[in-house]
Amino acid sequence: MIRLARPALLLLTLAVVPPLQGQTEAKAPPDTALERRVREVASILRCPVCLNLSIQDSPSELAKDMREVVRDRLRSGQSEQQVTDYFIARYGEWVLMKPPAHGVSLLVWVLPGVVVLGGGALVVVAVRRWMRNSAAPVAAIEDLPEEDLRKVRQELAKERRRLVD
Amino acid sequence: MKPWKIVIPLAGVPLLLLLAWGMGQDPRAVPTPLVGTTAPDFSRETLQGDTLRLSDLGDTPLVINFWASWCIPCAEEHPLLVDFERRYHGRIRLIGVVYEDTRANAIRWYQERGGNWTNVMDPRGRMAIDYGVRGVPETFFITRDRRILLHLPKPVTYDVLELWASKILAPDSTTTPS
Repeated sequence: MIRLARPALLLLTLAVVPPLQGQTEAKAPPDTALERRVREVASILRCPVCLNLSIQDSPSELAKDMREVVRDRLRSGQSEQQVTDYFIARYGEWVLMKPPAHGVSLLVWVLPGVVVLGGGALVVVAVRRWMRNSAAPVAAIEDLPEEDLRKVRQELAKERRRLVD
Repeated sequence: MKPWKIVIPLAGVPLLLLLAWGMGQDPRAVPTPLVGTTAPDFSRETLQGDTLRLSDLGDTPLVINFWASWCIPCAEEHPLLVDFERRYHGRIRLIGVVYEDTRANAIRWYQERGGNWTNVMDPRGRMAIDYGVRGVPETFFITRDRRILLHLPKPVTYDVLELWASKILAPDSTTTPS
């Protein structure tokens, strides 16, 4: 009985598994040129309901709907820029994952460079000053004014007495 | 005084100003560039199965409210909208847009809470995206010439409804920017 059951089970498995595989493949979007363009555009658009996720990466319903809009508009013949402009007109430039290089957003691009250059300049100035100071000749004790020499001698004598006592 | 003693503290001033400006911003606030522009046209199926088009609504000022039965703030603002629609009936047209929800849920929710305005379905959120909606509730106040005066990305209040109803009803609302 068991000998008969094994082939039957194998046949049943072979009959069931291929359709299941077929269903799984059907769910994934085909890797066409259109899908590549959809991914490119979706990757630069920010999901409005997520924290810093593109609509390509977000699992939210709104992101999914926005990806469909991207797909439909690209399919209808619009360029990537036209599709991006459509979303900017509705959500503002905020919808772009990378801030545009103009207006207040320009600061995001310019400020790091300014800070690095400014910091570098400060370091150069500080190092040069330090090197100049360390290279400067130490004044000889004989060059000191008489008044200062007298004070030095007094202090040395005071210190000597303290040590002897 | 050496110049760097002035330059270094001064260099920090723009950074502090930028930080102060950033602290004053709402991190969840998203610009609404549609304000001042013409409301996007739409053609949507109502809960009853008819078709409603923006172009069919004549020159009555509009309030378009995006909502869903799963949205708790929508339930909280609903009595205000019921009262608003009753007081402005015939002068302002209130349109509800069912966002990311099923028709059955929307009908049940609307019947339970009451109201006397048209609601349309928005499958796959196309109208919501056209209006730059991020979630619900969100409400738009639209003039006779179909210009968006306000995009409110949060629940309405009595005062907001009164203020913006008066603005979209004003005779000069078609020419005066908000």
